[in-house]
Amino acid sequence: MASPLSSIVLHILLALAEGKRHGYAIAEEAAAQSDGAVRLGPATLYGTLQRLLDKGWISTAEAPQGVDERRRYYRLTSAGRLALDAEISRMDNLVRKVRLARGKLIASK
Amino acid sequence: MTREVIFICLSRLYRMMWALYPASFRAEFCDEIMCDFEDAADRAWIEGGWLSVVLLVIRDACDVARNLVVVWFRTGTLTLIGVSATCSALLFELVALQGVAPTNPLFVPLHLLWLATAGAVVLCSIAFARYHARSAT
Repeated sequence: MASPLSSIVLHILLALAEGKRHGYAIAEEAAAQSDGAVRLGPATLYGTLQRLLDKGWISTAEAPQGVDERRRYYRLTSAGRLALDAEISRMDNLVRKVRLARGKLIASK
Repeated sequence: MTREVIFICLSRLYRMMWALYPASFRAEFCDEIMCDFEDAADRAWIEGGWLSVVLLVIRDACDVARNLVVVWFRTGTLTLIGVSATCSALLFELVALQGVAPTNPLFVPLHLLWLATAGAVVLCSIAFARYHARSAT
């Protein structure tokens, strides 16, 4: 069974699930998803992007026209999508178990 | 001080911070990072003036410092230098220990210290190998 993803990796993969984005847009989306709780600094963001590129979970994508040419766009690969799906299933399963435990706790009172 | 002067000074300072990172990392991401910084600094200036831009630089500098060792370890260079230096030191220490007579009261403690250090090197090497194996999760 795969180990859980870190919250940084999860938010980056989630940000890319909707489509290709550049680094700054990924950081903004991660902050929006987490209501500001996850703030990706540049070293954290690009260090993680480098690891995900090495793992083949993301790849670079063609940038839209008119965008600053220094920017690179990233997109999820099929391996990245599989990893994200597996993590979402794991979290679903966990939430189900937590709800079950909470139900038992309430019933026992 | 005008906005342009503050931005030029901070951009230079910001770029200098990244000089601490491995050349391969800078070659791959530095242009993007500078582009992100320009956008973030523009936004910070609109939201809170020069103080917000300075706070942005400080926050990013903390992030740069926090990730510095991790990024160097990922290149393998720092790990290699660290393990090589420790192994060399252990070798010299072992040679020096040959000059300590068994009757010397320090004979046993010094050998135990050597063994403990060698064990720590082995454990650290295993830990780094495990870290590299699962670094993306």
